[in-house]
Amino acid sequence: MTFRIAVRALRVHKLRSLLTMLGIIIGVGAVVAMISVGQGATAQVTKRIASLGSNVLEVFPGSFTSGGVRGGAGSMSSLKLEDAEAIPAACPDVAAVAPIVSSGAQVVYGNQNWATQVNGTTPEYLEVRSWEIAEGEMFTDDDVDAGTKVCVLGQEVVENLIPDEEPVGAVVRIRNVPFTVVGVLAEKGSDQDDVILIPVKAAQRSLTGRTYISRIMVSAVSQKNTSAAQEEITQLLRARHGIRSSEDDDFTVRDMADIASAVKQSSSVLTLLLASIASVSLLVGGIGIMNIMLVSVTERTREIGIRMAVGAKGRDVLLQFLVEAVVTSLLGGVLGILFGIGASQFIGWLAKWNTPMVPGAIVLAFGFSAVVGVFFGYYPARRAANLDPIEALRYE
Amino acid sequence: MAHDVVTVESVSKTYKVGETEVRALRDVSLSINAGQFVAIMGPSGSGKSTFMNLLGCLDHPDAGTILLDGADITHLDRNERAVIRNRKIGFVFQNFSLLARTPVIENVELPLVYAGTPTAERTERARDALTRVGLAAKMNNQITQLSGGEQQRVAIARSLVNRPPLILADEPTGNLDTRTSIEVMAIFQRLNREGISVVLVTHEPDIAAFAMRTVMFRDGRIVSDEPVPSPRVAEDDLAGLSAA
Repeated sequence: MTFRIAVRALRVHKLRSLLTMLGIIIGVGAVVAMISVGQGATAQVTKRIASLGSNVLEVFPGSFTSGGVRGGAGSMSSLKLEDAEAIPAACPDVAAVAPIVSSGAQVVYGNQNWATQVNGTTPEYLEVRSWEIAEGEMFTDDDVDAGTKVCVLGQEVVENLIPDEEPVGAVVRIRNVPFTVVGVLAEKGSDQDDVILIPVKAAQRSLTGRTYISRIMVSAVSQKNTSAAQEEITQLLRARHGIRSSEDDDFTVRDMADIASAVKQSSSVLTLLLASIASVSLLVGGIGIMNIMLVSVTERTREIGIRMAVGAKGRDVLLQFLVEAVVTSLLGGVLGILFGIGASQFIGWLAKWNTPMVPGAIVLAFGFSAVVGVFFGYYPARRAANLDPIEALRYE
Repeated sequence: MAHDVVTVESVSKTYKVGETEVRALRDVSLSINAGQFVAIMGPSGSGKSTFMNLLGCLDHPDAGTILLDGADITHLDRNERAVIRNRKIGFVFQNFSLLARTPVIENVELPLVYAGTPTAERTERARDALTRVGLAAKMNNQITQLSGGEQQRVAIARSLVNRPPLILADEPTGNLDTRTSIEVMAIFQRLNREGISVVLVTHEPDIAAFAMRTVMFRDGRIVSDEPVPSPRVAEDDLAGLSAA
């Protein structure tokens, strides 16, 4: 009965009820959409990291210390090409090894130029990264040994540098050194296509002028073998670098899975942040309900008086207005959930992500809107319940 | 001898309006026998509205005692007063005081809702009450579709539905034309004959003439309390109106 009265009261002022609900609709919608989009983003980032290869390890040089001044990780020049070459023989859990000399460089072709990352490496790089060649072919081990000036372009480099011509066979100038394009990498997505691969020795000679390498990428036989591979590489490099057992490593072996979980964690923190910002609008929506309910109580003073005259107790009136507030906010909650699902689908479509429904978020948003209704409906309802019946009956 | 439905003893009530105190009732005593039809008259400010509020259990007196249907209602709290209003009193107001946008039947059911009567019984009793005021045919109409007289009859049906011993009617004909007023009075007289006590507040002597007894208020006191020698009979008046 109370429920029917509430629904009737809401139907009498359709537009007003809808506007009252709008705050809750937007609040709940925002929470649902944010959580859904956040989950989608997390999944996306995780997928991107997985596309680097979940069985991939990276070996970085250690930090450089001189006279008490410590450089950051990787600041030391402790990794050599020979270190990389020694890995396959000594580490049974390793499938492929690619030394990398990395440098940013300006690349010129014709009247186009483009700043990109140039990685000097070996053909095994493709195996480590499980990457394919789309056109032409990868440079060979002979090219690596000879330091031939050939290169393989990532898709994005091709688009920006040689958009209208056949890239294979073209000659691009990397830091003014001419390199012949022998192949084009397949599209990898996730911002990884902005890269040029050249033979590692060519990079050492033409770009860095040093015999050290930036890092070594290693793929384990499978994801299960990453820890074993990590251990083997650590043992090997410690031996090669002559590090005594009391000394720290002068290199770091990093597991992609670790990075993935770190990134996943930070992106779920971000989701939480977005959701809490969105829940502020739920609060604002609740205040909107309170506002309208107060107006409604004043406007319906006479009705309250009539109800009291025929025997409504304070509790009955309180319940009536409370139910009305809760029905408003719950209805707003349901519409908000639909709105949130729609919005997250739309954002997912725009960003080409999958934005999954999160049942927990929907239940949470629904529950929260009920709580908002009770919390913000209570004060107006109590005001109605405490009206003096004589005053209320006299009210025009 | 019939028992008293209302016994008021030395009741006083003072209101504070801003800084000034208004002594609305000064030491008023009055008894109404069960089955009586009493008209309460007096100019505005005479205290008759305050008296009605006390009788109607909407307020409590500063001093004195009020017995309603044998029960002391002087010192009840808000909720207890609500229960008394629900069980013992039927209200009829000048402006009908019905819930707009609510069907007739639900308006009549309202006191039963707060009495906690089950739905089926509620509908049946509301229909009976509407039948008694001759509006059973319009029970599913909206209030706004009814004429003033019909609305007042709905209000009377609502006041009846909980079978109270006492109906309090506050200027029930104030918004009605002569003929409709007499029709409404006819209903009150019929209900009175069926045993319900009726207390009617009015400032129209014509309307007070339908009662058995007239109580006159002035300046917070009862200045006269007399039986009506030969009350008007509303049904005869209606017959006369039709003939003319």
